[in-house]
Amino acid sequence: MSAPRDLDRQIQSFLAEGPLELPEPSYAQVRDRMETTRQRADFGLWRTSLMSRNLKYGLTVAAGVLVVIVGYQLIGGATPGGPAATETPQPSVSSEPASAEPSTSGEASLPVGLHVMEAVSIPGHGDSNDGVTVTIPAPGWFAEPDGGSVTKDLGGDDRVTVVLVPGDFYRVPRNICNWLTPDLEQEIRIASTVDELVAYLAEQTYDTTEGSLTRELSTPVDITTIDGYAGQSITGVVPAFPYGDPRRCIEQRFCSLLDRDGGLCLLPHLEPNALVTLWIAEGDGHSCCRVVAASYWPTTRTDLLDEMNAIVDSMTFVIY
Amino acid sequence: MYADLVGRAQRGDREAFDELARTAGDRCMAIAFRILRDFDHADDAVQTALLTAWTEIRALRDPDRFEPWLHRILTHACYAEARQRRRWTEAIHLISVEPASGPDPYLTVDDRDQLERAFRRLTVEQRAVLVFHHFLGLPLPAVADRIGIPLGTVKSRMYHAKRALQASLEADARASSSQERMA
Repeated sequence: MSAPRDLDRQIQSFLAEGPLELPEPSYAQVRDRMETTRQRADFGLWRTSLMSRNLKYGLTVAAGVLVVIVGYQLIGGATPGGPAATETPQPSVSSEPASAEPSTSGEASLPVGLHVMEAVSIPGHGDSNDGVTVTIPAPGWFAEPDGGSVTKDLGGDDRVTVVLVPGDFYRVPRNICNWLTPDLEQEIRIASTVDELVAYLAEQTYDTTEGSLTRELSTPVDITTIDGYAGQSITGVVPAFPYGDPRRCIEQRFCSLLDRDGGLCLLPHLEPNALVTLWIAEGDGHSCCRVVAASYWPTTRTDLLDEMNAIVDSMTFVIY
Repeated sequence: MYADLVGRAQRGDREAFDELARTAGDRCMAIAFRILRDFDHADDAVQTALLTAWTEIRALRDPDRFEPWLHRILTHACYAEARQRRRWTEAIHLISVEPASGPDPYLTVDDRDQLERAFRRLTVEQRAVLVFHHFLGLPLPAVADRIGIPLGTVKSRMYHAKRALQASLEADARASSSQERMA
């Protein structure tokens, strides 16, 4: 600089220069991409007037927003409300879900039987390759029609949600409240195996009035639940928000898992005291893991939990 | 201002969101360019942010906070864009964009070049704090809210950013005068 000047004034003058408009073609591109991008469903409690019945009480594992039931058609022969299909789902049968249009009915209970669940694309990651066939074991389960999840809500604490978390590799924030730290290398680690993912989750912290605490998770249990893939299952309680105020957390939610770029929460939690179980199965060699999550409450009735477990047990991965 | 459009967009109305995007998009571009110092990367970051906003808008609780909410998404889109750029194009020299708004007579061409170099040496997180404070004119608590970081972190980034800018400018000035002496 040729002469000493006030730095603030210089910065302001410098920043005043530069483009002030987004080019018209960019708006058009956004508009085009919106046509093929689903909105994630809202799982909060703050807009009940806009929500359908199955969302009315919100979800804890809002990762369910990334799950779509592609159509409510049965792949097998079950009729609505009737018994479940008995034949084993074949990937060749379920590999053509594109022909099944997402249902627009948010009020209709899913027919008992076999369905395809397809995780929606993560923005910026291209099309999703995540999908499962799943058997709905009993009436009363709902899928949010526009990028929803599988939920059964009998009122009060008798409310269960099962979701398929999309993605191939996951970043795990150390602090589940302040989960969007820009210091990725220090604060957010990427998990490339089931063991790493479980270990990183067990080390996550949350803020309290007494300081930072490590979240409490159950001891991992070895599983072969999901389509025969080995893995581990863990359960944890969603902690209270710092000072009871969700606004103290990024986007007013806790977050356990981020996408591989670390910018998008794939497993948010909105409801303190809810229980969350994760089934983390080995990937196919090109990915870390396949993650299924469920949320429920400590006093949720056991028959509902049995249905939840039956749904997870019935899952078969679909390769598109 | 945004309540009606946000409400409609939350119910899947693409026209309403398009209108929202056009209301907020230009300012987003102005912010993103000033953080990233590159037109194409800023364009990409804004598009990513708008698409993410469309995807996530049902989670927005207070429609009147649409723009702050969008700016937070944009900031993180800029971080991601900067990381990606660092990964793949670290060695590429970026060509300065001709300013669309008129040059400030307060700054000479040399000043501007020195500031450009100094600004690029800052971390993207430091640049974001400077842009929200000095370009948008937000007070520091509002910057903290807008970016989603504690106020203390904003102050710390601001302090280090200015110190780095000052040091950079002084180093440039020393280099210039020594070149003049050599000549």
